[in-house]
Amino acid sequence: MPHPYTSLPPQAFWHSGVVATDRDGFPGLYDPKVRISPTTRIATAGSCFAQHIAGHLRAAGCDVLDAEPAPAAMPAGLAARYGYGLYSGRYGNIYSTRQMRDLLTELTLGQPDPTLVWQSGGRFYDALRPAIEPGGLDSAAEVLLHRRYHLARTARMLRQADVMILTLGLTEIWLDRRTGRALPSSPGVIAGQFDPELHQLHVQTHAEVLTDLHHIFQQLQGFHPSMQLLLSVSPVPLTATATGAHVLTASSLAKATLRAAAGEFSAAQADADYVPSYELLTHPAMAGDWFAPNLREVTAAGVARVMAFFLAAHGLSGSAAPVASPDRHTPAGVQCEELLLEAFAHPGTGP
Amino acid sequence: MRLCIIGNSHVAALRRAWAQHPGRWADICPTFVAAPRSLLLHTKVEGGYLVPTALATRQALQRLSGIASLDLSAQDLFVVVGGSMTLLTAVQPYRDARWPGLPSVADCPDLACLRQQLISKNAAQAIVCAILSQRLGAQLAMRLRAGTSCPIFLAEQPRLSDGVLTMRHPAARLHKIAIRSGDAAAIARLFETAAIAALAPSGTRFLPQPAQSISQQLFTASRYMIGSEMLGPDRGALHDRDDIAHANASYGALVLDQIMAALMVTDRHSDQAKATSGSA
Repeated sequence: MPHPYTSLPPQAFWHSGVVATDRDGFPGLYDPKVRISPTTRIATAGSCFAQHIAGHLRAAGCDVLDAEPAPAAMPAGLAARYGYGLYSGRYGNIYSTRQMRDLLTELTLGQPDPTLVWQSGGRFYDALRPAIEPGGLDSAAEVLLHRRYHLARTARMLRQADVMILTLGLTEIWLDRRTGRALPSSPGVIAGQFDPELHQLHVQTHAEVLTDLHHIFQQLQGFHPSMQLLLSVSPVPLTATATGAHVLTASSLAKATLRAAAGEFSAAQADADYVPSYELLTHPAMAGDWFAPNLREVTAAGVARVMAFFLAAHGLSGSAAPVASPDRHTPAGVQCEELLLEAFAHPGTGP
Repeated sequence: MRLCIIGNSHVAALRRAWAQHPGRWADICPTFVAAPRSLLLHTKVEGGYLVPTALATRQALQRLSGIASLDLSAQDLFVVVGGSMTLLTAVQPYRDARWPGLPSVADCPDLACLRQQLISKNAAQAIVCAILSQRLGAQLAMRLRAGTSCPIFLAEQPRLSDGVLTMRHPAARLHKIAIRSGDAAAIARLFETAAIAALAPSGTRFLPQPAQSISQQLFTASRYMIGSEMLGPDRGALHDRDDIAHANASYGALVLDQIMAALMVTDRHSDQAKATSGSA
């Protein structure tokens, strides 16, 4: 008697799709709906893990846009410290969908909010990308000058982009109550001062993330009507949680929320797709040395695995990967504000 | 005062000045140590001596300074001269970037349309500092510091000759743009700040180019360049008249005066420190 399972392909079954398959290539795991070729103009954004994407794509000969390239004389390590070359814009890490949605709204308006300037030790910081100027700037006016420039250049870049690759990282966000803006880190971690009257913790729900994704897609297509969206979820767990929960369950909840929303959104959109980088590194079936001894950072081998898989799916395999860090455990030059929270862990409780 | 003047081809200007007017700096007993280009990078400190690690460096030290190695304990002060610690490094980011503090940025009506990248002044300074940190001057100062607690000064490599302005020389294209845009003074200040930062790890004091020799902020007045001497075992041959990189003995004399002045300040500070600690 025929039934729905008799005609399914091998990847639909656990044994043939996972246990007995080629677990390097994983046939059928990712069949791109949104195609990338060497001529596709790509924009990238997202949480720390997404920093690897631009470098690997460039090394594979892809056209990754860069709104604000570093001066040619700037050494690569220094450029990364100043937020150059990490993404297609110098927006720093965008951890949440809310942060991305807020940025796109600001880009449309073209004017920065003058209240979102933090001060620490007489120096001034852009509250929406506090890590990109180590040591801060001389004045609030200079912060706003650089932000206006950043907005103009980023908007110009988005008008050229064919595809946005967005990596979702966190659902736990800090909101500035006055402006409603989502901040990339809690005030006080890098700069600024935490004020419970002004700053509020919020954990995004699946429905909120899904709504944000719809807005983001609409906003992106406002810059370039045929822009497509590639979503992935960062495999990197939370460094810390302020919710009161254990960081492990908080991490699981965040990743499950993001994964579910990304899946639901991309399944419903012809011009959006989900890249299973999260599964490639975190699923028990993918046994491998993909995480550093701190069980959080992805190793260079893990990044290479994800990117090789992604590039192969787009017919771009065989390209050289960027030079890895001399430390074999961690890929080179990742700039991550969230990692700074580790400094606040109780002494003696670290790994 | 036993003074070691060490560096690359730019040492020649100071050595010539000393040879011409030895009585002018009667308080110092100089040792000149030089090797061309960046050959002194191939050295190491071993047993209190700076010793060459490459054949070419060994041969250059022997031929030009008559030494096989440098006894660091036999000196009271080191002055690193030139060593590619040049203002040209500050012109490098100016090639494709601008930063607040430059008059051309203040005058720009729409920064988004700027042909170059807008970067922060800190970023520009960090670029120049990173470049300078890798240059012979900073590296040599760091190496000397590993073998001595004596004061170390570094005298800026002379800026290009202002004679270049009449030569249509490609090296001066950006300089000319900077002067026309009113940015030259800010670039010179950026260089000095970055040089001080690059030398901080070795505790080396930066001696900027003597003010009276500077022309249009970015150049050396050609009267301090024409007749410059090449590095040689004794008296070197003269550079071609169109050499734009090397200074002459008049310039060398200014730098020696500057060293003496800096030394007096250093001595005064050290006397004050002794007096303070004595009264405590």
